[in-house]
Amino acid sequence: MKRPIPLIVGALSGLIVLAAMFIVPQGGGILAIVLNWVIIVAGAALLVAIASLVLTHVRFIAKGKKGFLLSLVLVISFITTLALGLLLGVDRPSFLKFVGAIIRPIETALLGLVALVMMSAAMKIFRERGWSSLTVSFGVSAIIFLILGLGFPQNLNIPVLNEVIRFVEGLPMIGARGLLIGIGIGLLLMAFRVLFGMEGFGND
Amino acid sequence: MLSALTLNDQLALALGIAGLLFLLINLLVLKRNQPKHTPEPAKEAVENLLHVSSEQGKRLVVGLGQALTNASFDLAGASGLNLQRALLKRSLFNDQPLQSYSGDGVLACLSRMVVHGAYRGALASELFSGSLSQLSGTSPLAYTASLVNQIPDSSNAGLLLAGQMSPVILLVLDQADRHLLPAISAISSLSGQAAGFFGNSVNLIGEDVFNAAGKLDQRKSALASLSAQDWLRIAISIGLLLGAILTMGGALP
Repeated sequence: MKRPIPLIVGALSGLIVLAAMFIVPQGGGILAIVLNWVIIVAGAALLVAIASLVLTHVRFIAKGKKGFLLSLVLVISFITTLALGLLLGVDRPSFLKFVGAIIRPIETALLGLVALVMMSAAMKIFRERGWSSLTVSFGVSAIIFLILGLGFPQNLNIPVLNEVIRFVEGLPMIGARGLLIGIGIGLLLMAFRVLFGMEGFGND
Repeated sequence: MLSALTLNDQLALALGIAGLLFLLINLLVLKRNQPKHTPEPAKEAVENLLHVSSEQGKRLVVGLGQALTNASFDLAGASGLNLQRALLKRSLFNDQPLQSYSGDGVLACLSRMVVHGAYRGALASELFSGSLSQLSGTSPLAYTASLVNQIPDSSNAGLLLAGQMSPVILLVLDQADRHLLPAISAISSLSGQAAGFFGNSVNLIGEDVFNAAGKLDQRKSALASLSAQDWLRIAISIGLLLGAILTMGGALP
């Protein structure tokens, strides 16, 4: 059963913040306070989630669950980073250099992998999804925008062609706006359901 | 005060009020036990995944995204929670419970509340385990790397990506494809939806991202919200047409 007091408090807080966004400039002060609260609560939630993650992996190690070596790596890395952060201070250049030297190459490698996977996925799309209107449109638009991106047609300086290019370049924005309107409508209704306690994360 | 609002703000306010009105009207009009059934590819795809999961005794993996409070507050990041709850209700007593991963602290806590609420609602709190909903990285890349690592598990029946994600998620979809794992992406960011299109998955775009949960859930509020969504879409289309006509007539700048 849903508890009424948290629901009323939640709904009232949401309505006050919403009203503060439209009542300018008086609402600015309220928004700043609420933003600080959100940061504190989000920080606390992150700590809870991290503690829970570490505990879960400690349990995996204790039970010798399949893949527990990865859990061991996670726990050791976490403890090492935490200990170094506490001992040296999180702003110390040597600590930042140490953490950065591990994270940056891994992230760069992953991004490189994304580029390769994206290229391979673009090739595979015709095999997996077949020759449908969607895939053909994708292929044609990819070629057109690749040519436009090279800048050769623009350099010809033909006024009519430039007009056509400007029109074509605006097309993705039109499509994106259509999708964004759809997402916006869905979000708006979801926000109302959350605001008035109809979602009830965990309450039902 | 309100007069200081720009035209865009005034339009947003009007749309918000219209949305609220439509939702209330639909809540009052909609009959609880007579939901209209419309065939929905997204719903069918998710139901197929559930079916495979319960038939094979394997688990479904749900990726809830990594952006609710990480960079800025973005409610779209919580869009996967509805789907998680709808799926949980149908798979609570499967051999392998639903496993979800979040890339944001607040999202991980909310997701755990959803899982706990679902088990408590089914009077089976003793079956709840914290490991069913985990934090798996606090940046898009860490989250993706962690999720990629979960895909090859032989106990997986399917993958569902629902929430706010970056295009890097393509790595996860590619991994799922390599392990012949059926995947559905209901990502609420445009770049994420593009990645979902590239990956070999059932890709939901636009408002469909929010429809799947509502259609599965069949709760009165969810169905009323879907109808209100349709009404709002019609209202916006009429508004855009009127705006275009007025602009061409010189009545609007």
